[in-house]
Amino acid sequence: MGQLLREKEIIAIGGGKGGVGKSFLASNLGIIFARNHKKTILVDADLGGANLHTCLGVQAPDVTLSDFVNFPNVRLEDVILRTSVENLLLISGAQDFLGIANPKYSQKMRLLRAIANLNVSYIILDLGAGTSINTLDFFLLADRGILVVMPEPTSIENAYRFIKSALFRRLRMMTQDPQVRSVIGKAMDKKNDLGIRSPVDLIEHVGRIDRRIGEHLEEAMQRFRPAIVLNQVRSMGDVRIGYSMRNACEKYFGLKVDYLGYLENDDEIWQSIRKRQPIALNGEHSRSARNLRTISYNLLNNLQLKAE
Amino acid sequence: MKSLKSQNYYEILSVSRGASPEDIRKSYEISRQTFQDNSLATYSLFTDDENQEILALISRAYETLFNPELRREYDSFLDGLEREGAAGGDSRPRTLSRSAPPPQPPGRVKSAAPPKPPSTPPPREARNEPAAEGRQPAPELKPDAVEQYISSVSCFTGPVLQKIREMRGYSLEDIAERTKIRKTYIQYLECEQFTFLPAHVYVKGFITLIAGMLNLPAQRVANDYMNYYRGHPDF
Repeated sequence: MGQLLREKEIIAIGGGKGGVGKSFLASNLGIIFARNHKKTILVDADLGGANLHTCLGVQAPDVTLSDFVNFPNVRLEDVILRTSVENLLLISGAQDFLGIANPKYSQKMRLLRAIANLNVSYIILDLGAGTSINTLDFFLLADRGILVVMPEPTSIENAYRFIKSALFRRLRMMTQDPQVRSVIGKAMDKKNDLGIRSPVDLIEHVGRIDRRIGEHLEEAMQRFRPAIVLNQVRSMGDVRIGYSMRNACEKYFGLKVDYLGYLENDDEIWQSIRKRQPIALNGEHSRSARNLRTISYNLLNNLQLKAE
Repeated sequence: MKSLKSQNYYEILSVSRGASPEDIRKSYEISRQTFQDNSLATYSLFTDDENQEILALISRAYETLFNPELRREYDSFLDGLEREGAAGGDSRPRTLSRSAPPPQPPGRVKSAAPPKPPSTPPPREARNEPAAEGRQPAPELKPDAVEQYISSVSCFTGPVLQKIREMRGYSLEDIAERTKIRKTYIQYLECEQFTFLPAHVYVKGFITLIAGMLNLPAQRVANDYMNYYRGHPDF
């Protein structure tokens, strides 16, 4: 397993759509890292619908993120749970506390800071569905952001919306200039009256307002490099959709996107979820386990799939 | 980063200036799949009309870059643009697309030699300049000699294909790797040892692929080959 990454790496796993396999990928990657003797914390950042403990076969926990969010004297370390896997720790999401799904700004910032300060090798954030501002901020906190996508229009549409929302939020955070911020806000709507169709157009437009800010934003865009994992592929044609998505993102967003790998549609995955036994633990010789190893290898070594 | 209209052909196909013909072909295949009708990958990003436009650009880029002659012309066109840009100094911003050089070659290049489908041979007129340095396996002979030989061929037989392959500087392994045809089959086809080859329909397919790799008119080569050996006892 590669060692190219920094000492501590935050990896966020999102995807926009629900049920595409975010928690599945998060928990299995966590197990693979932990089994390679890297201390890893899984954070269930799905504030409204936490279920990562179920993926790991952990009983519904007593302490969760909501304890940390609601009580200023609780430290994040206090809500860390052990799992059955050595080196793998879990911070469970809120169970039944509705309030935490929409934390106050100060609560959120405290949480983000505490996550960034956790003292482990890998922090894996399992994000919720949708493109709420909180989800985007977790995604932007991470060093690497992964989107799980299924080869179907609804999932792909949501993934693109997620990429676009995250990118625009990042760009907005880069500048204080009110005029530029307003342009970025308007550009989010495809039917804006400025004729801005894509992020590429936006950067051009901003460059005309203020060349320096335009260049600044362009640099930020070049650093923004989300990755995709295709889930439930059923054919080579499905596998190739990943390459095509990479291509489309480059043409539309002007972004480099890494295609880390895919997960074949495999009955064993479905069974592993039913049995609440992660595939990376019980079924190391299955196709899915192989797929997972490819994904984690590419992730840790800054590689991606190459088209044949 | 530039908008699509101001990208050059290499940028449109997402390949580097030094990309091999094989890289260009692969990248073209992916791009074509990306923007084809009913493509999932562009869903919600591009409209059908935009896909069509991009597809046209991609085809033009491919037809130019896959043809050695056209590519050389296009490269010198780009070099010229770069020199112009460098001479202009830093007076103009270089990162934003509005200042980017136009990617399209002037009409001359396009009208002088209209794009050809990939399977047609390169133009046969004599060329004096050596092939683009370091971009292809170094040919052992000057390209004009290869083209002259090809134009003198009346029938593409096994030994003829072998000769062209060697003139182009490809090993059996090169062809095997790129066409995914077993090396031994390629050898049998060249040496007219038909005993261990699969059915004719496969043989024809092999020849078509090999001819494509050698930048020969695939259809004609395959027909020649099949007709020539039809009466052969082992064929």
